[in-house]
Amino acid sequence: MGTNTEAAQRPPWVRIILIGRSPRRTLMRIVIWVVTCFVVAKFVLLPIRVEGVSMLPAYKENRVNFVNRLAYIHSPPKRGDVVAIRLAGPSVMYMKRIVGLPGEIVEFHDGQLLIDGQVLPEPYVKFGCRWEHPAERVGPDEYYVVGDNRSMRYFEHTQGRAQRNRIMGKVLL
Amino acid sequence: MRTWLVRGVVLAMLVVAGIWGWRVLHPGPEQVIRKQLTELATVASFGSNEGSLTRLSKAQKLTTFCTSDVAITVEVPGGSQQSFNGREEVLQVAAGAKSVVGSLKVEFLDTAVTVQPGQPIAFATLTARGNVSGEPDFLVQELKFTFKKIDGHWLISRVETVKTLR
Repeated sequence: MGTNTEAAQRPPWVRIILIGRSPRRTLMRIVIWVVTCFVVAKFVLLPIRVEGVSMLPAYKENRVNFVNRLAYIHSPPKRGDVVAIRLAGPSVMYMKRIVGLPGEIVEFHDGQLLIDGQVLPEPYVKFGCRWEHPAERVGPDEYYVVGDNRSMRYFEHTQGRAQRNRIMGKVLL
Repeated sequence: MRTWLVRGVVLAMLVVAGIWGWRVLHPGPEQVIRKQLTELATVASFGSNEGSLTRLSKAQKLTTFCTSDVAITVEVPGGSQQSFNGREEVLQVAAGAKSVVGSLKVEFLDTAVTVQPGQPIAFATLTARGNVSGEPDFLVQELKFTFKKIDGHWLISRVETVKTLR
């Protein structure tokens, strides 16, 4: 008799698969997951899709990546970091590499990047260039950013000084 | 206790619905400008299947969003600036662009509107994203719009590009 009562109380297997043994607990789990995903995607790891060729070959087009928004809470951005720079907001961002730090003088001569007059070794640049750009000083709250792919002409490539408040975070992968 | 809770929830819902209804019926300057920018993006876009007459009428409609002395300053790659002044010039440029490009889809993203308190002036900053047919990449540009309220209508008096990287 007891076995029959248990069988009667047990929900059908389809229902168990869909909403679990306890619908209230399942609902709570779903809510917690949705809230966690929202908070993480909005404030911790911003998902992005790479568009364009300016960071080739390290970052290929249409690859999904994440921006770590907590990367620069305790330490400032470093040279060599690949960062996301916002335009008016986070919907569209530039993905660039930091090459010049605040106060430094950046220039391009015969395709080589010079920081304070010294050539900066850039192993990540696989497509060289013959860029010429006069020396310019990076402001106290600015970082000089440029893409890895320099096969195009200088003015066809987006690079320059980015204000610190435009840097959304460090690209994770 | 439960009755009071239900009454409280119903009251809160009524208040929210009332505020929403009021804002729909009496939109503030910010809502009006946002709506206008959305319409502007739609009018600026055109498909490859649209005829030249439709494109011309869309180009003419673009000028209705602007003041008669509108000034558009665009920074082109290479560092030089191009300026267009007045509705006539805007119409010419828009019509010319529409005849050259096969299709264009314009989107305005991350729009932020600031209305000057007590003044008929407002500013909007946004990221414009354009997808031109045949081009693999999106065109993106940060823009700043200046709006003036003239005869009860918010019209664009100035458009300028914002340099994200200096």
